[in-house]
Amino acid sequence: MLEVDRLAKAYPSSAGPLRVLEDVSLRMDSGQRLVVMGPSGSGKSTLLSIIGTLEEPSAGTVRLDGVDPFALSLADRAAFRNGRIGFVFQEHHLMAGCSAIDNVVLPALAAGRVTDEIEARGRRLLERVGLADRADHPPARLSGGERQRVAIARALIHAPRLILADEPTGQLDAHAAAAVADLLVELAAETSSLLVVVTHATSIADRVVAGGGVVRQLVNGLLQPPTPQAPRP
Amino acid sequence: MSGTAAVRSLVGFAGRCARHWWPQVATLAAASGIVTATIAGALGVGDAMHRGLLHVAHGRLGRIDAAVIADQPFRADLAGELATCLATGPVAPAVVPAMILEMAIEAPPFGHRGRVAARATLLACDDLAMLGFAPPPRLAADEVAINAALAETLGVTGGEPLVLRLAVRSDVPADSPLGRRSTESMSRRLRLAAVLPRGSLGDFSLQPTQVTSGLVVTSLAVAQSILREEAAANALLCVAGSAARTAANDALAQQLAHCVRPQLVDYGLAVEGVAATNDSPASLRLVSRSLMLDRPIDRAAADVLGPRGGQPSLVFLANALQPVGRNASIPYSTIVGLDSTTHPAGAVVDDDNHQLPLPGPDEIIIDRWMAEDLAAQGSPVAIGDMLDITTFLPETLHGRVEEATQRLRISGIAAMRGAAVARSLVPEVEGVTDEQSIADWDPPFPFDRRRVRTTPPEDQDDRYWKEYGAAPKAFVSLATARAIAGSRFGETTAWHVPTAAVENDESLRVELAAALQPESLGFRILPLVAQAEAAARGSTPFGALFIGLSLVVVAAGLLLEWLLFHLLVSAHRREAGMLVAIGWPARRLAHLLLMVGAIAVVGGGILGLIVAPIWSAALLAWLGQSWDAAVATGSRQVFGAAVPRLAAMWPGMAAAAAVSLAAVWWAARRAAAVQPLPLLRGEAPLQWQGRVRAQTVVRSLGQLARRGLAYRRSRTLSVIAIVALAEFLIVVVSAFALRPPERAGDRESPTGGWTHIATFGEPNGIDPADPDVAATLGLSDPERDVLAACTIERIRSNGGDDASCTNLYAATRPTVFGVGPAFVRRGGFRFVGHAPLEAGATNPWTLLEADPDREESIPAILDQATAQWALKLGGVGSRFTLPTDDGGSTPPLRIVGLLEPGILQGAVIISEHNFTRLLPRRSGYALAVIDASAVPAQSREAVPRAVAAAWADVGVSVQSSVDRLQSLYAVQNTFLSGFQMLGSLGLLLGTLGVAAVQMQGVFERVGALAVLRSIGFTIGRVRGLIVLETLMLVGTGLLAGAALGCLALLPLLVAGRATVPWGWLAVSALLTLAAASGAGMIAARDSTIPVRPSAA
Repeated sequence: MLEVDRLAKAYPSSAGPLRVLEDVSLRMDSGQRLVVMGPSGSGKSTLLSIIGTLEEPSAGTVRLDGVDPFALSLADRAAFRNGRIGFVFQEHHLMAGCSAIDNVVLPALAAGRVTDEIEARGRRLLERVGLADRADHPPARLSGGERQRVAIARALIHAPRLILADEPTGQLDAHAAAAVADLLVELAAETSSLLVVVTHATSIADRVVAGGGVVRQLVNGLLQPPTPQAPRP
Repeated sequence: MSGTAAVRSLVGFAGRCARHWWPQVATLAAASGIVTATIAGALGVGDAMHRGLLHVAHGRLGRIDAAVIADQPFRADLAGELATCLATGPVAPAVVPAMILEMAIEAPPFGHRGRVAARATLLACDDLAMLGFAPPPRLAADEVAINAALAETLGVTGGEPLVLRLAVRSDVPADSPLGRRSTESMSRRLRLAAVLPRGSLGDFSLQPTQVTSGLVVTSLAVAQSILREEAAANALLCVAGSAARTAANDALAQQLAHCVRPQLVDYGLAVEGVAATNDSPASLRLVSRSLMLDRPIDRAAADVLGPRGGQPSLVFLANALQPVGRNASIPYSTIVGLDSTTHPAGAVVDDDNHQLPLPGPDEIIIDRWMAEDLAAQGSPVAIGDMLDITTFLPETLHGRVEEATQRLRISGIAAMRGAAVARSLVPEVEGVTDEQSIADWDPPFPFDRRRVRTTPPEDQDDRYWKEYGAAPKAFVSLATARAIAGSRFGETTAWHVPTAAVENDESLRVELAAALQPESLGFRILPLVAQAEAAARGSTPFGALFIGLSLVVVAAGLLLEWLLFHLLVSAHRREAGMLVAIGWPARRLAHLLLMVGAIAVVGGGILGLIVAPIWSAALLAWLGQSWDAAVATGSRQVFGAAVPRLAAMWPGMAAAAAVSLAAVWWAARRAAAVQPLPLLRGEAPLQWQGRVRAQTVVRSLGQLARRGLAYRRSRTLSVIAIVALAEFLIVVVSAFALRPPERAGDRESPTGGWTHIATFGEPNGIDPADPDVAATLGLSDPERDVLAACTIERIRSNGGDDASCTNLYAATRPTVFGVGPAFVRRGGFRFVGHAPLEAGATNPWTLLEADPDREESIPAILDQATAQWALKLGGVGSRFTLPTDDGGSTPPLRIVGLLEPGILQGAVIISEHNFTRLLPRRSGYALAVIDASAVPAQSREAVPRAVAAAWADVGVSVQSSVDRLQSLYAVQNTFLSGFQMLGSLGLLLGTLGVAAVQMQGVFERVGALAVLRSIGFTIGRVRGLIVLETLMLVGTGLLAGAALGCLALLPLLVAGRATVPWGWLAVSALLTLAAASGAGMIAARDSTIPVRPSAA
């Protein structure tokens, strides 16, 4: 369960604090999906970064399964992030010198060695995202959609409780974007992971929340009430 | 599972990253390689120097492992006796007798070439093959071989006649009034049969020395014949033939200490029988060729002869015996000091044959002849009358014989029998006791013939001489005699023992010889291999020195590594950000970056280790060339004798890797600590970004360039720091280049006002200022005139190792100089520091003459460089001891003054008085300093010739003070130019750092630069911007470094003690700026910056 309570974020500036998020609260139970939408500069990515523990809030709390990650030390917070949160970025951020399977198992290297079990899981994930035959290919030999699918597999290697996707389809064509969105939803459902997606694209938002989930607008740092969604076809 | 296995470990992952990031890793490796090559190369220089010194020292010894050297010739048969004894020990070496002497050699005029003379070492030996030099020359009785260095000096090639001149050492010390001040030399004309090439016997020397000195080789018989020393040698060369020479050397030295057992004759001693007379029984007497018995001999005689009734005696010469207040006088008489008037040589009795009591402390017994002669002169004396006794002082005063007078009371008159007629009481003195008439005396002391009555009817003295010879005319107690005539050379002239108390004369001789310690009587046992190894440790730690000189390069290399590592992290910042985002702890990311850096560092280390020997070889070649040209011709062989070993350079690689990894680790920790979001966004890590002031508007390309530099301030400052550091050090160090003074006669200069320095092959008592001595030197009138106009101060020396910076070998037995009162009074030289002077005193040299009995230590002055570096003694007030000739150590010496490096560099200087106390067996002067300022300018060129002529018999080298200073200064100047060279390399690295920073800047700003092109900037203008930034970076560094350097030097510059090398600085700055411009051009090349921003 993800609980965000009265979250606020402000940056110092010469003209006084620049408030990016104000009094943001939300709650997600197991398996739920949330799409955050809003104009540029509305604070979507900041919200995602704070929930993902990449950035600290100015006020408020974040709890995942009852744990407040910002109460942890930096090292423990990194381990928390590594084990419970999966990231999918707008840019795939794959290691260029590594193969697809290498990139998928990279989170496992954060705390130790890559075991046979992890590698097998990585290969299964690649198979699941349709890249079984591309496991040994470096990113340079993959298409944009394929790279993002590798990034999704990487995010899922530890079966995280929470998947955070920041404009995951921002650099893909419509067809590839739809495929990636569907894949995210399917895989999150398979692992009962919470899924939070930040996007500009209404079509992607619709695909993510179809069949369950909510879309909420973030405007000037304020999270708006959920918009009812049509059931997934 | 299929395909290639996934990355499993951090190490594997780091390997993949390093492979993929190879351009940055390779440049980092190159920088690391430079650091490694610099440090390991410096260590390689040290190692090669050590082994080169050892190689050369071993090469000079051939197969000789140890030697026994004596001050005086001994029986060559001692070699066989020694070998027999050694054969019973674990090491059974062959023992080869030889003569090793310093000598003079002349090539007579030949064709258009005039006479050429040189100093050289003589090796006279019959078994050259045994010494291990191949191939040994075969020499006939009239032939000589010389080494190539000497042949070059003399301008001979073979077949020419050469004149060998050997100084004949007086048995009597030159510092004794009975020793000769002038030196006799023996000459022999021989044919040059062979020139010994380098790498053969021609390299022979028992002393480890970097320069091959002149060597003359003859058969032993030739040297014996020249010196008229039949069957004699002065050296025993031991050849063990062991493979493990070092390990065996100590054992051999111990065996030698046990087996070297000279006989009395080898010490110049004799136990002679004295026949019985009517008045005295037969006796034996122990006498020495040197007249006085050394104290160790005296002690041994007391032990061996004392229990047998033996008694010592001390004979001295009274130049005049004169009743007080009267004109009558007895000239040149011997007086003997006895312990008892019952003496084995005869009793002292009165006319009634009653034994006279031993005279008291102020009393004297005269003989009947003297009493009657004084009466005949109209001055009858009786018991109780006072006599004035004029004698020579027992030791010369700075080489001059002086007289003194004592007043004694006549306590008895001895009858002309017993001791009064015992010629055996007086040892033989060549030129005196062996003459038939007193008129024929040719004594070594100033002899006034007018005092002696030799012409009838006034021939009383000659008649006495013919009847009684040198028998004593008077007697004093031994204590009184010793107070008058005792000296550092001894206080006994003979021991007498009744023959009846001795069972067997020969047994007595053996017993006496066994009671003597050879080391205390001039026999030195030299473990040559061990000494060579100790000396080969070197006077200068070249490894550490070059690391010091290379610090600029190392510092620049490390800063470059730091910059390049940042370039690497910066280039891959998004990937790093991703890893943090997916949960990699900062520490883990730091480990990854460290591993990638370590791969570069280790790779660079291996590369550096490959390059290091080449770098070492280049440095050694440069050092060898510089040293050979400016310091000591022939030194090059040491620098090129050995190549550096990898084993010696490993620590350098490890050290370089350690410091490189430390730099990388520091940078990695900082990089990993950065928040992931900026990295993910592609913002450069670790930049201290300055703020742009809103009010300013960029109006020119220069302002735009300055804005670009200010924006990345930490990186900019790093590069400026590299360049400034290199420039600062170069300015500071270069300012200390040394130049000899313009006027050698300036007393406050490093010459001390002495214009020349002469070193002698043999210590001697020659004093050209003494008219009696000068008359014997065979000088021409112009030479005599030139010398008369010179101030000459002779200096004593222990003949130790030169500890100056020109000697590459470590000084294991430092040179000690003894300077006389005139030298001290004259003062001169520049002192770096000295102990407090007494009120009103201004001359620190007078500190040498502090009352040694009141002081607990002996005052010493030496140059700061020798005290600090070569001998590591410390500063003013430091105490130290020195090894003595007999293997012991001196009482403590105390530094009372430190000189700036000057012509006396490399020696511990003490007063002559203390020198003779410390080193009583050393006699004569080994060098002289000459002030020719008063010589007319047109005659000054003749000074070296005149000095050489005065000391020609002993072999002399004359060098101008300026030449001496130039060779000393060349050492420091060589190191300075090395520093300049290495500093320039540091500047080059700084320039590479500039290139790296600019490349990084271009990469990071490629979008912005592309915008500039898209809005109309030509590529030339963009390139101009980058080059301008580059020039600003380097120029600021150069200016900052030069300004700080000048500021640091300001006090010295104002005092005129340092000069800024403007020319060199200008050239190096221009070259650096040119290189920086090139770096900027490369960074801003067309292919890097596209025209369309989107392509960036």
